[in-house]
Amino acid sequence: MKATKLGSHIRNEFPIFQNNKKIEDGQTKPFSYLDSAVSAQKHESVIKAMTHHLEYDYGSVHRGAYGVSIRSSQMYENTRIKVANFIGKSVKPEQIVYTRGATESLNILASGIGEEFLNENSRIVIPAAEHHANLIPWQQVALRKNCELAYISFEGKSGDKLKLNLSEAKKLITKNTKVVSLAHVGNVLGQINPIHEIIEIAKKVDALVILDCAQSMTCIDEDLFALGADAIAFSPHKIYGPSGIGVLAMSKELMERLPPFTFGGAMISDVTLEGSQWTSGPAKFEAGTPPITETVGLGAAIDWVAKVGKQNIHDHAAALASEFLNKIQEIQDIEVFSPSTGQETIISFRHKKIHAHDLATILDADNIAMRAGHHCAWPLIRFLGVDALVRCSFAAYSDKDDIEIALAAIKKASNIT
Amino acid sequence: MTESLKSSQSVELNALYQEVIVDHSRNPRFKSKNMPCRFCQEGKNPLCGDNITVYCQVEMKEKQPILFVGFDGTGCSISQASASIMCNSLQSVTLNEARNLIHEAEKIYTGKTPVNSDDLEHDIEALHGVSKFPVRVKCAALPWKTLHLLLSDNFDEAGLPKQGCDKLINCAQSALNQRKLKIVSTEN
Repeated sequence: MKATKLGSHIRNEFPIFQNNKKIEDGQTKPFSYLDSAVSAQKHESVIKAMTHHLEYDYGSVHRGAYGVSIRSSQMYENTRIKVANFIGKSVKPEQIVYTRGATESLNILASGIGEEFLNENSRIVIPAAEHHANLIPWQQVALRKNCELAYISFEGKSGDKLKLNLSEAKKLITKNTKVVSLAHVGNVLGQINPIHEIIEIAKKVDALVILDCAQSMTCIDEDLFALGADAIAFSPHKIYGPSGIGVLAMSKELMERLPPFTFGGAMISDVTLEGSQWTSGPAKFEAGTPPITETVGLGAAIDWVAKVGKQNIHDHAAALASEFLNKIQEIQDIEVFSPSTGQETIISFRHKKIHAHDLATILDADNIAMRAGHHCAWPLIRFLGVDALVRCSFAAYSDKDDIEIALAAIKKASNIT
Repeated sequence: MTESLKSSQSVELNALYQEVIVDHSRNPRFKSKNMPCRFCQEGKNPLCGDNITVYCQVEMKEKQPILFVGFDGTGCSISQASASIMCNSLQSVTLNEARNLIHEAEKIYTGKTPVNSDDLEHDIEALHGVSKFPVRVKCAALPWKTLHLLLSDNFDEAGLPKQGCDKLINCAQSALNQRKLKIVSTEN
């Protein structure tokens, strides 16, 4: 196992842990937050930056000739530059759109690609194991355009055998395939999908490649646009930044061709009673008053992640996940579904005798936060032949104590239900 | 530190998973697939994936319907135990008795009716433990809300059962009206 590179001081930089210790029967139970895959906790620099913005600089963006509006606009655009740098060298700020979240980013893509690229002879290819946010928008577009929808399945049902079926992908990504959309890292099992291979296959037939990077932005440092991706989506709240804002990055060609998703102020170049014309660039997709303070928080989160290092965060979280996986497998009645390559930061499992929701409630009594349920991926959960899983996910602030506390609570759970 | 975090949650956890609940979840009563019934109703908690089908058999006695309720489904121990307790309490009951019990159960699992947990008179009172766990109330509520829907849909204002379940016809029609996805696979 790799040594964890991040120091214990990092946890102290996240105020939530100080404020959620639980005292019971004279004992202090630390807050073991093991659900960062759903949303990460906020670094103190993010909280301070947002508070400072609200107290000193808040104004609407691109609308005012006065001080706070000018300063807010500068901060808003400054973060766009940071986001571009954060994604990779081959991305420019004018390719970055602020949305409400990764879900909205994927909806903008599916809807726009449907309008511009798909007809009844086209095909969309996605893995069957996707998060609903990268599955339902494509189903809806396939219905609207009456085009084909093909699902890539998994090989194996758990452990190291579980991976995207590449030979099936090669057969499904045919000449009429116009778009292939997949998660970089799976939100349920934490598997790292073979995006290099998928991009290569898709580019042979000139299909667009969309990557849902909701789970990979803090842990995989790779220039995805240089690899051939046409668009990526992610949510700042999963990289220690605020919720309520999303990122959509896309190629310049796609940005020009896709129609707007939402209509209103700030996205037009002219409006008459007879019709309207859209502005170009990111503003075309940013109708209405956007998240403003959230972009300041996002900028601070990116600064912090860049300072610590994506690779260091990944190695730290993956080493803890790997240790957790090895130890939990030794507990009676536990069945682990995540692969164990040592690179995952998410481990999903079930207790054969305790339903996932019951286990999550029992863990909460010991101040442990884990997610239970279908994780917004019903087709995958059905494929695995279960009705719910417990998911344990690690981040920069996780530590070895979290593992020991969680394992002890899971062992104890058998005596309660 | 907030005051609520200081409370002893292990006491509440024991009240949630008390013996009656564990027993009903491990040995559910009146749970069966494809139970003979006059009416059925499916219920789901979409966020957690729990699902249940409530069955209702009806016998007419002195021109009044007498109900026998059963269920099938998957979910956590709370939803399964709640369904089992519900069905166990609703054998050979009138429509009004069923409706009253639905009302009574809601007051118990939402904590509106105080219950002495050391001295339970009826199994249904064991559902009070869930009231301390706001996110789990929906688990306990699922079977009762599903039954409530079944009764509202299938009994008329005079309290008499409607002619029969028309869901099959409606379901078939709505399926016909829906456009189907063109799903392709390597076997196509």
